[in-house]
Amino acid sequence: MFSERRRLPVFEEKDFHDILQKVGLLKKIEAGKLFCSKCEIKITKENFGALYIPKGSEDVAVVCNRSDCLRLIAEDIEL
Amino acid sequence: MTADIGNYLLAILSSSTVTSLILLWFFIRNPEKVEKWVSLFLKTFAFVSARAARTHMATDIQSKIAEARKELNIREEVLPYGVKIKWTDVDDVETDLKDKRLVVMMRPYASQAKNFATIISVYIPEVLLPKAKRYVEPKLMTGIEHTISKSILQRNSKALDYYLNAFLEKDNDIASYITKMDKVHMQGALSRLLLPELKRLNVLYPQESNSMVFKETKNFSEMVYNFVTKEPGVDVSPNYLGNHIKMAIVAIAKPYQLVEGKVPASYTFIQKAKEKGIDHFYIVCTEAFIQYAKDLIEDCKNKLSLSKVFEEEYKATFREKQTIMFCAVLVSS
Repeated sequence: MFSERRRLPVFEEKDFHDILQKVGLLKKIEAGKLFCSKCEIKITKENFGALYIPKGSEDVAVVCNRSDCLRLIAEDIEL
Repeated sequence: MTADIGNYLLAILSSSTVTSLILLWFFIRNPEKVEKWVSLFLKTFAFVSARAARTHMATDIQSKIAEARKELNIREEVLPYGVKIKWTDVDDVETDLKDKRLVVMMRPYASQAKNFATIISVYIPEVLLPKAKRYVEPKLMTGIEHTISKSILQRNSKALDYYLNAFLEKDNDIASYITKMDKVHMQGALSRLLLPELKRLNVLYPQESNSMVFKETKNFSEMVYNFVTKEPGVDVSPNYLGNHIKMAIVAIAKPYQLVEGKVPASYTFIQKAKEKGIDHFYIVCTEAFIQYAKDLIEDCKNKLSLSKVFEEEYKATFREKQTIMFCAVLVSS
């Protein structure tokens, strides 16, 4: 019935710091050195969009919450 | 007395069984509606229970996307997948990232409109025409994705505002495609005509895309746009004969009757177009001409070996007015 659904993992904003620490990005964001992989704007908790792993990479990248940056993730991940 | 009680119990049992079967049948046929009801029920508790809020946030978005899929997949499955939101946490995030390669942050319940806009921004480019999209001219595809995203977000005006405010399209070509595709969509031709024809490019998958096929999709979309926005009395090409897309739009705006010695122009047009290699015919009209369109379809089925694969009456905006429209698709058999 719902078999044609793709799973999309999400996390709650309250887990933001713990999640970023887990994926090794907390120090970067605290130092103001984490940037959107698409528009290169500085990432903060307020403009955070998503974590993803780009094609051919094992490193975790981040995009901001602008719709035109979020939509570009689809081109950059292997689903 | 015992027989009465027995009959009474039997009546209760059979009526509850029938009710249960009806509910089960409804649930199987309309899962998105049931999910929406569950979501609305949980909304009542969302401000007092974090668990209810989380479940509401997920089911609200899932059911809105399911409803949108039902509308957009009316002729062909252009959005083949829905969304199942899976809450992850610090223990599972690494596994989920490795598995899906993507994890999105959700704002608190009070910002659910932002969450809806965020999920749509990620979801539409991933699932809209997943195989054919690589053969569609990239700026055109981006324009179509924005038009579809906006139409889904119209279900929540705050989400639409958020999407539009967070969207800064600087490319003039993309901005122009968005405007054009919005107009095609307002007339119902995006989901019924343009996207199903683009889906024909699935046959090329997994070949590499090239400039020829990009040009074909660009010219085809221009033809559709010019046709659906044309003013009365203006001549616009109603067909497109490419390498992959071979279609014609047959607009019925005059009484139609196929009689001996007098062949209507629409019938002759289809006959000649079919000889040239066109294999998909979209018969379209407004409410007043539906019966004529149906007569034409019957004649084409009987005399030109065409098969009807789709027929629908729907409401859309035609020349600035809400109008009942008709669309049917005939294909070469």
